[in-house]
Amino acid sequence: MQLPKRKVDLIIEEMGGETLVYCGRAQKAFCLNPTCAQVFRLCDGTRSCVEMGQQLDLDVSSVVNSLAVLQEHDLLEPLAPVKRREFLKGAAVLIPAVLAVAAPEPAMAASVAGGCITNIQCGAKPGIINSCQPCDVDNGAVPDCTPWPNSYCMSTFRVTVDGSGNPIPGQTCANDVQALGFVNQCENANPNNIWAMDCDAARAAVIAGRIGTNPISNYKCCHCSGR
Amino acid sequence: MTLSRCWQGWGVRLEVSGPAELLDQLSEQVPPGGRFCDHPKAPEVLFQWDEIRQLWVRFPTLESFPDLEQALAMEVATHSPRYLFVHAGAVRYRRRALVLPGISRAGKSTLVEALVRRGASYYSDEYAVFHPDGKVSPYPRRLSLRAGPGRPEPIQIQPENLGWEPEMEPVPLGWMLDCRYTGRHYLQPISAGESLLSLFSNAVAARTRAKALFQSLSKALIGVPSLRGVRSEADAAADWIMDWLSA
Repeated sequence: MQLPKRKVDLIIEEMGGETLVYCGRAQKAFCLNPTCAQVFRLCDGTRSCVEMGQQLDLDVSSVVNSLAVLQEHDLLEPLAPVKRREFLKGAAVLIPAVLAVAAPEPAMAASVAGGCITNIQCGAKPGIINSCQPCDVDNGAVPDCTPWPNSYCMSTFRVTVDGSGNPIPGQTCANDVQALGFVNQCENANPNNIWAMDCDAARAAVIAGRIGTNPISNYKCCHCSGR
Repeated sequence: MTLSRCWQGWGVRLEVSGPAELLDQLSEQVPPGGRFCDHPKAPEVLFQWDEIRQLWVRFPTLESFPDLEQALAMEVATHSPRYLFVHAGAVRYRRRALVLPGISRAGKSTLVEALVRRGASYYSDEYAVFHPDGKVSPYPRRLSLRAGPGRPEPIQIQPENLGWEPEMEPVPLGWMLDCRYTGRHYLQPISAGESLLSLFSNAVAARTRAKALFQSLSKALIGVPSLRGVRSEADAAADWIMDWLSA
């Protein structure tokens, strides 16, 4: 039987009760909450969910939830399909146990020259760092990168999710994991005004904070194109 | 006439070659914190003016840049072997650093300038430079305020006029504030781990030096209060921040 195992090429740093993880392949950094971090530490391919729960004095559903989150963020070796389905079932009550940010390209972590337009960041033309070409002057419109096909643009979109946390077609990003370095632009606009570090976390926070009488929540999500 | 000059700083050594009239202003275009050098042995990196394309070309990679100052800053921030550059504004207050990470146009320079007017000392409006032990060095390039409402022309202010002094040394990180201007004020505390992610997501060498960043930033952030959110106008926000720093 295949047991949960951490990926081998991760950089891991302990910090108080939190654990920071960097995945070079995905070029993303993660901050695990204490429960998720405890489970993550035991993912060495030798323990089952039940054994982890016993060792950590946690109920199995908490372990499964943490594993689902870790699996969702691709921090574990692939699991057998049956196991994966089991985890994803647990993920229906997903809590924002992980915050994730994308590692920026060097050119993105720098001030751009000239006239980028508020809320629209435009990136490098091939071979030219810090070039800046407005892609879209309308914050509400889909960025138009036609003149610079290799540029990356960002805009914020208000995304509506239904009571199950599923995005309503026509009102959502094509893909909720399109933050691509503009992570701090993801703004959760639900009534509790929870901030999230990426679109996945924003959505998870909305779902977790959803009040029964208010089954629909809105949040904003980054959208990037051209990459 | 073509001239060539060698410069070194932050562990990086490079050469710039171009027409004399373009190199006249080189001393204002090189990053702060370095010096010109004699070069019996040519540096490995060369920025050379391409007269035909009117661009600076970096050798050996052949990348091209319209703006030499930005190219040199990026060179240092990307390739410094020891220091870790985070895109952020930074000021010093009571021998500790306040770091304000943020993407371009988040309002860092405006806020830094407002904080300096309230008694903080200028460290940078571009990079917070972290040492391996977590301390923060000044990166005192001239502060640039873009044109905008109430400011018809861009303004540049020399660091000497903002309280920066050449003898200022690296100081421990005292506060981390990840905010951007939206017009309203909402800041909430975040954990050290979240704070590290805020800095990491603005680090120039995040993809190539993740381990060093994790190690440096985790040391830097021990016991450091951190906030994230949005802020109001710079003056009101700076008043609030100074109260926070003084608490």
